[in-house]
Amino acid sequence: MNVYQIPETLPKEIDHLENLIRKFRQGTLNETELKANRVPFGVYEQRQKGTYMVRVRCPGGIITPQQLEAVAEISGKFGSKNLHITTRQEIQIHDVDLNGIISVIRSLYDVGLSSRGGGGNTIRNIMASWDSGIARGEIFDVTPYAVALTERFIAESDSWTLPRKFKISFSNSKQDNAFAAVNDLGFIAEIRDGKPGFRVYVAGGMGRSPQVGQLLHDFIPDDEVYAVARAVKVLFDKYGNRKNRHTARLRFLWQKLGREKFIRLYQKEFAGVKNRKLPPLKLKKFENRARDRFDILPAAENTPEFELWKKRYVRSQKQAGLYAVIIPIQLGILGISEASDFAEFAEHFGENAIRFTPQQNISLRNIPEEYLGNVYRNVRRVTRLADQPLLLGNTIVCAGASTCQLGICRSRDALTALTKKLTGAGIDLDSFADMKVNISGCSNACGQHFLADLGFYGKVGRKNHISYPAYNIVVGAKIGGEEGASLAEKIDEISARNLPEFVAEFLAGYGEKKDRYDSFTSFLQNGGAEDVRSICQRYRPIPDFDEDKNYYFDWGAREVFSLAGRGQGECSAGLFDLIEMDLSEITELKKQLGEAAEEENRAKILYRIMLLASRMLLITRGIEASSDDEVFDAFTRHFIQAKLIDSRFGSVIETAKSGRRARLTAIQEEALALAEAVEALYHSMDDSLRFNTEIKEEKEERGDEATSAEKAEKAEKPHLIRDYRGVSCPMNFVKTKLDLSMMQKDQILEVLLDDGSPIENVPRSVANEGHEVLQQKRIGQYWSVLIRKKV
Amino acid sequence: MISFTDQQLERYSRHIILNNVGIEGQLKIMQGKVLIIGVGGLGSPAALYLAAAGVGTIGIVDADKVDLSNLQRQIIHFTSDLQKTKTQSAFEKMKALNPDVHVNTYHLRVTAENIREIIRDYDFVIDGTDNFPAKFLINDACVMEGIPFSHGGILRFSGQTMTVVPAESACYRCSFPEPPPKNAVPTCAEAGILGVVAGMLGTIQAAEALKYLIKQGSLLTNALLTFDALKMDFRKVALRKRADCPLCGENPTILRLEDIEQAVCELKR
Repeated sequence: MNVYQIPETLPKEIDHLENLIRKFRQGTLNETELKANRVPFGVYEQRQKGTYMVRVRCPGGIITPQQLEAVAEISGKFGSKNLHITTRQEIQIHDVDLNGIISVIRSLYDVGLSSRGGGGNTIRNIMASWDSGIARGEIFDVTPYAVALTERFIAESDSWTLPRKFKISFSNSKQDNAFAAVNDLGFIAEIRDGKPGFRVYVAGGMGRSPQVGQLLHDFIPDDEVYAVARAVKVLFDKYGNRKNRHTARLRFLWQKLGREKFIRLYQKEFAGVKNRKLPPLKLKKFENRARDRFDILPAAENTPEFELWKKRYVRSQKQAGLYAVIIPIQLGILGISEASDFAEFAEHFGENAIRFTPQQNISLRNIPEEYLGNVYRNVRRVTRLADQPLLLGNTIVCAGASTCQLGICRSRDALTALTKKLTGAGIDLDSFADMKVNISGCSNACGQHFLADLGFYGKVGRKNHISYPAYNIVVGAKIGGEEGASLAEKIDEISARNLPEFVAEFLAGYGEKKDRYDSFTSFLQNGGAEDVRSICQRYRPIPDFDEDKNYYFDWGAREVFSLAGRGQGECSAGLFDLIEMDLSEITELKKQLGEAAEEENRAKILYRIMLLASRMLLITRGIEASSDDEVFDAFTRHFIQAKLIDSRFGSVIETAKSGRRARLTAIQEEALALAEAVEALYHSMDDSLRFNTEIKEEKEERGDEATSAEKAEKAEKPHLIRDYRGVSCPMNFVKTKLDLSMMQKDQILEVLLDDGSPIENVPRSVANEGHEVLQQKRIGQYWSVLIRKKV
Repeated sequence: MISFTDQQLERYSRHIILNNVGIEGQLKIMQGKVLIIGVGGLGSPAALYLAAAGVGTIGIVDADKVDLSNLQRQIIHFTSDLQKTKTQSAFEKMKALNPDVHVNTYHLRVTAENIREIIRDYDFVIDGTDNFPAKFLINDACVMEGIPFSHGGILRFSGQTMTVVPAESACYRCSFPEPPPKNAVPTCAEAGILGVVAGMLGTIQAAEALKYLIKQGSLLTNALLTFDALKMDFRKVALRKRADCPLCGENPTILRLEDIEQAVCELKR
């Protein structure tokens, strides 16, 4: 059985990717172009250059035992010894080299799996409640919808060229265990007047500026799922911000348009899609019943461990006599031999037996009671957590600074330390089985700290100029229930060193009072929050470096905590922390400067201030300078020449760069003024890393279609129109400059440019020179750009 | 009115796309006039780069013929040019590189008599000579005519250069009032010169000329840039315009040009 139907076009697309990889290897294609095609295929380059990760689509977390076995085999052949289960219920193959990518993708295709849309600006894996179809309290099985919508969407070519990623999820009840309320589009099962349907949320998402989903439909009948999804996709495709990936997700469109306008535009699309009378989704049934015949004998188990395990991990299904188990997989890392061993065993329970859960665990279903002993034995071979409490098995943690370029703290190692602490603390962890403790290494939400009861995300602490690893503490996420979702909120912070003690103390305290509250939320509201703060208060003073160096080493680290080597990855993780850190060091240095008498010392401090001031915002431009000179050069190029910072600072930068630091004391005021200018610029920056001046440009450039069209008609009649289609970079820019040089200030030039590098480069370059880009409008395969001559 | 042919737009596109050059800057380059005195080690790269950049008029002054010993560093001259005058040899290369450029040749040695006449037609002068009398003569003449120039000198593995904007910045005599005593300083032929050092310095001088034409950045004025290619150390030493400079000070004592006697090295240059 294949879980989902793969479109007929896929083999051709695989051939195309193969061709690109060949060209790349021959040196006729650059890395960026390959990347643009590789990532939407779910192939990411890993931290180690030249090795890749392939993310396999598993709608609703479903994979057949045969497919799982094949994935393990493929990984053994072309990748690493470990597979990785993701929080979007997918599975990943790691450490594939360039030559292996196509082999992996073709082998996956042979068993009905695809990695298309695993990454990039695409329809990502569509989630569904892991217990859908079997849960006792569920409204109905949502699995068929997740699978059918997947089949439809992966066959539509516009699914691969969206403004940004697009995440969809289906939950089988208000409990919302598939987090529909924090996806771009979420469906929560509901029955009204005897008819199955969904409550629909839109524009939710996590990351650095998270937002819970907004109600789009109170109820839609189930035969409108496709129309709703299609309409939202078209809306996103049409109006999403393609220019700035940091404000590209659907939630930013919601924020920009406002509820009313968003809904109005959506309704237009929705009506349009419905008018086209597209066929409704083709729903397949996913059977949940015991197999008729077993070729293994029930294994009797009656140890206390087995009984405890049943209590922790086994749930009875709504199908009488059948059970489902959760198999906790530490960090989602599943060895290939364990995977294939487990897959072979899972075949006994049918093709529909396996689900990946958002907690990066595996669930096995449709088990008759007498076979639970067999399952227990197998589970103990698959995971080391088999005999650990659910609290530990459910904990989500991101890769962290040990492997992630963006990470600040080593979250995985923190979890290991926490686990060790908790298992030896004499706390009845089983009484917290329904609690979620999640840890992210930085402010990106890969560790889903926003969805936790008790969550942590890494930050930089600092004492006496020395930084140490620390975590922000967030509490009280509410997902599911009647009142709508809310995310966990920051309440305090703790050093990484004290995190395990903090959790142990907090749980011990909560455990004592637990019976008095009907939920964790009500505990928090009635004194729990104060408990957190008072524990933090006690741990607040951390020892000096010389007193106890342990605080300055992250868990599992051999070197003193430092942010050196962190990279600019795909997103802006930890970025604000980093900027703030430089900024606070500048403030500190300014103080020191006032106290420093010695000339030489003052010069040193001034140099450091200038270096930090030049460096602190480079990261917003995706630049990672590796030497002081590079910092100054990059700052000159991207801030002074880009006219974000006054050009008069060019000379003080030159002086700093010249290596004659002694001179800096003579121009101290200028150096400090530079730091202030940079700080002012930083404060004008918005969440998506744009500065005041840039925002203004963008506002004028975009806005909604109607007003910019009106504007163009009224005031923006071009003085000159030039057609530079077919003119390649940089000649199109050269010619544009020539045109502008012949025009008067404030006159308007319209240039027609090709899609691709011309539209990506020319307007930006023109704007860099101080002209105003009034509008960029796509017209079929090309663009019209309006430029107002400014200088 | 600005007029660029499509070919010019393409030829100079990498200049034009620079924010600091642009159409206007390139136009200034194309209207610019630069005189290069000496088409040897320094003058060769300067002449080639300025021709490539499209400097409208380039004058080249040299009295010598191409010698086999020149070819190790004077890259504008080829083996096939031996015994040609350096001005003719350079003229041919510059025109071949960029036919747009107008090249004036002066097959002569600059003297107190002729120099003011020659430099008067130019916006900027590059000193590519190899002896002190010529360097002082050029400094004095340029200050008197008010024409900015780039001084350059090279020896073994090192070079030095400064830019003088008369009346505004320190002149060569502000720091070195008199030529060194005869034979106190070895000439290139005696001391030897790593060929590329000439290239490094000549291109810096050409860069100064271009910056002067387009009026961008800051010139190497009131400073002496020295470098040692052996260690690849670059240093900038600050200089001051002196009120008591015998040439450009408040009470100048040098009021007219004079040729200074100096026995240049006996070896062939």
